[in-house]
Amino acid sequence: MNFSTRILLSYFLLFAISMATLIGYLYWSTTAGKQESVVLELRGNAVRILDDLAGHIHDHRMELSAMATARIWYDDSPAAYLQERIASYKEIYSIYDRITLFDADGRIIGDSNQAAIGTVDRCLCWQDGMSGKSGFHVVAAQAQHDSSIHYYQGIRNRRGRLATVLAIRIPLSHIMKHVRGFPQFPAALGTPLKIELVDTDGRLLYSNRTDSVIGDKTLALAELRHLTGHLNTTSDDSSVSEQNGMLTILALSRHKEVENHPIPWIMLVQIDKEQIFADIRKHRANISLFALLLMGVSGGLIWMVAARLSRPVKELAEQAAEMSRGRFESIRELPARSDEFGCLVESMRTMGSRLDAALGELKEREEKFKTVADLTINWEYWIAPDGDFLYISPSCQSISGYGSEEFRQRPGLLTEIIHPEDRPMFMQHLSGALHEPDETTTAHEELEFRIMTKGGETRWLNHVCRPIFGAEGEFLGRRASNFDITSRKKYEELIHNLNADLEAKVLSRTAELESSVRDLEGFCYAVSHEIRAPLARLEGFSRALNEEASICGNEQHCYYAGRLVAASRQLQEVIDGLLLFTRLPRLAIIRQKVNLSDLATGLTAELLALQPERAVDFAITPGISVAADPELIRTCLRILLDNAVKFTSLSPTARVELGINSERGKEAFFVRDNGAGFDMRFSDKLFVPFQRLHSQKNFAGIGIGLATAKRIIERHGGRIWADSRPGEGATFFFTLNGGEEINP
Amino acid sequence: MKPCRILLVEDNGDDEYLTRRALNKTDIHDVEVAHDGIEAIEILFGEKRMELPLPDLVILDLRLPMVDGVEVLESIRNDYRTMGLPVIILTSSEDIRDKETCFNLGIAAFISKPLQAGALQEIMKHL
Repeated sequence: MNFSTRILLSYFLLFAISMATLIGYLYWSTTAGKQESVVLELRGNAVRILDDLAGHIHDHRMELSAMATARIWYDDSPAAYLQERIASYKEIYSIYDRITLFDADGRIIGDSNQAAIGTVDRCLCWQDGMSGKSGFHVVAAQAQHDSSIHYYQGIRNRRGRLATVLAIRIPLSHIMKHVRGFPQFPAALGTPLKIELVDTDGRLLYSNRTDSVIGDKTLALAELRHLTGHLNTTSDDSSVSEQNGMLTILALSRHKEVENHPIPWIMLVQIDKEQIFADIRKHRANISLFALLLMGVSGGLIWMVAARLSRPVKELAEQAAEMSRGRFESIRELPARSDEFGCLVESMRTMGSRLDAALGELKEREEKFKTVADLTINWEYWIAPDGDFLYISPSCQSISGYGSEEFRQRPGLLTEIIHPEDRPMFMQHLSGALHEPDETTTAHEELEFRIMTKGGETRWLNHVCRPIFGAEGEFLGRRASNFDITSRKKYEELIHNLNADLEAKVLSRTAELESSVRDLEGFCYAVSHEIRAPLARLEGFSRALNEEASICGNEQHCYYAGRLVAASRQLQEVIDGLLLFTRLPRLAIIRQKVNLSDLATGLTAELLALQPERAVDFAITPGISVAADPELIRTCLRILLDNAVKFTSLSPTARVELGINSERGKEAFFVRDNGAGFDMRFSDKLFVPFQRLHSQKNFAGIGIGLATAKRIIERHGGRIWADSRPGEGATFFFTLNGGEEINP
Repeated sequence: MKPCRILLVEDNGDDEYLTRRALNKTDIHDVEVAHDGIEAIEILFGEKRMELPLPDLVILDLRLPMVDGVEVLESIRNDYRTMGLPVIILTSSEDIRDKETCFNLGIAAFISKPLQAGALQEIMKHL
């Protein structure tokens, strides 16, 4: 249902409802008014009829009274008088049905009906008349007669005795004929269906309908009581009831007495409502017709208005549909308007042009991004948490041989083409990667695997991926890149092979070198032993010779033998020093806690024991403790002390000092003497094997000591350096655990 | 202790002479000489030994033909009879590994050649 139809319908509905309400109200008020007026008039009529009837009844009574009493003044035999005149009365008063004259015994002495004369009829009228009363009885319909009114009057003779009763009978219907406006009601009131007269016992006395049986009880006692109760409590003399579309009006005569005779008759008027409202119905049909016409006309008008109202809306809707299809030209052709629709059109036009521009820009950008994304060399893709590809770059074709569509249609294809050996690793990665991660885990994951391309080729891929999250922190899957690293892998393999070759070469060279070193070591060992053994013998025999010569007292021989001993000893020292020096780099350093002070004390004692002629003042700082190889540190310290003692041999007061310098947290030990000293210009030659700064003549030595000491210190991760001036002594510093050079 | 009987294991005649000289100077004359390791083992564990008592001291050279001094020392230390026998190593080698091995096996002294009477007497004092 479109907009204009809805407008139309709603207007029409509103109109129809108001019309219906109006008509309904009019009709209701009309009918109610009509009913009220009709009922009122009917009630008035009923009461008036009753009054009129009562008047007639009274009149007839008066007539009877006049008949009965007129004779009294002329004759002393009223009976005879009346007997003569019955026939004439009957003629005069055609309304009288019967005129009867009774004597005192109840015998009919005169009658309009000749056949009844002479018969005895002691009826109610005779009885009442003989009791001196005058009045009437209402006699309900009987077999041959209609309902009738029997008037009676007892007549006295001259002697004042009740001798005769005159009675007349008038049918009720005859009286009714004389009642004004009866039985026809005024035409405006319609024709009552039923006009009935009922006595207080509920018996029907008169009815305008032929099917009613006179004398039947037509009103129930309850109704009568209700009516009389209602009439007694109110000043009303009528009541109205409605049943099955019939209005029933019951009216009670207020003309209660006619010479003490109550006439308690009830008038019943029944009328069909339809009859009352017939003319209204006729009007109603007209009104309805008029209303329909009005509605038709107004419907047309409304349709025209609605169409006019909704036309711009319809146009706008069409334009919006056009715009939604991406066509923005037709909106520009809409004519300008000054109303709200014009404003809307203008807004839509602006919106359209902006949208057009935005779409153009979007398209351009999409083109750009598409170029960037689709023309990558790497195989880029975005995989959703459910494993589907949201994006896969066309470069997958050149890398794997499979097109991006194939991957989209078969999300498992990526796993399938992975080399069987790498597949478990990849599956493990995939199961971990697609499990919803924490937002904080944005780290890249990287792995390398092989794939089998469509052409059956094996390629190496480097796979990098990371989880991505939306603005709300929801997991959107993983963004991954696959690089083809086949060529890199080839080079890596090449490099690996080259390295392996190189390693093998190095190993073989090292083995060769080690074997040479072993040979050299063996050689040294052999040489040292082979030289040492005869040297020891040389020394032994020299000593023996020295002893023998000293016993003989040959000083010359003694001196020679002494020099032999000294020379062999020196040679032995050279060999020992060389052996130690060459073996040092490969000796295992086993560090222990060594008390340097104690060690130095022992060594100085040994030195002095060897040179008893020397007097050296030793100053050894006690409690110097180091972690070093005990044997090697002993050798080192012996060399340094030996040197110190040696170079102070020319000093008048020789002093040798062992101490420790603790500066900047580093411990440097030193051996200081006040001996010959040396020129610092040559300090670089100090620790070089067989380099000497003093002549052999002044200070004996082989020139290997400090080189050995340096090697020992360096093997301990320490440094050794010297500070000296010629003639002012020398100080040798050393550290033992990789300390820096510290000058005091 | 005053050892009267000494087993000298020495392959070189000159060294044997020099050692004997030093021993004689220390007033030790009962010296039996084995010229190589096999002979030394024969003397110590051979049938002849059943008749003679064990020497009081063994002076052992390390550089010996065929069976060297370290092997002889091992044999001495591995036999219950000679387990406690004092041994002095007299060698021209200063090899630190030999020295370690010998001290680990158990020796009285490790002396460099030539043997000098003073040094010997010093060692004998502690035996």
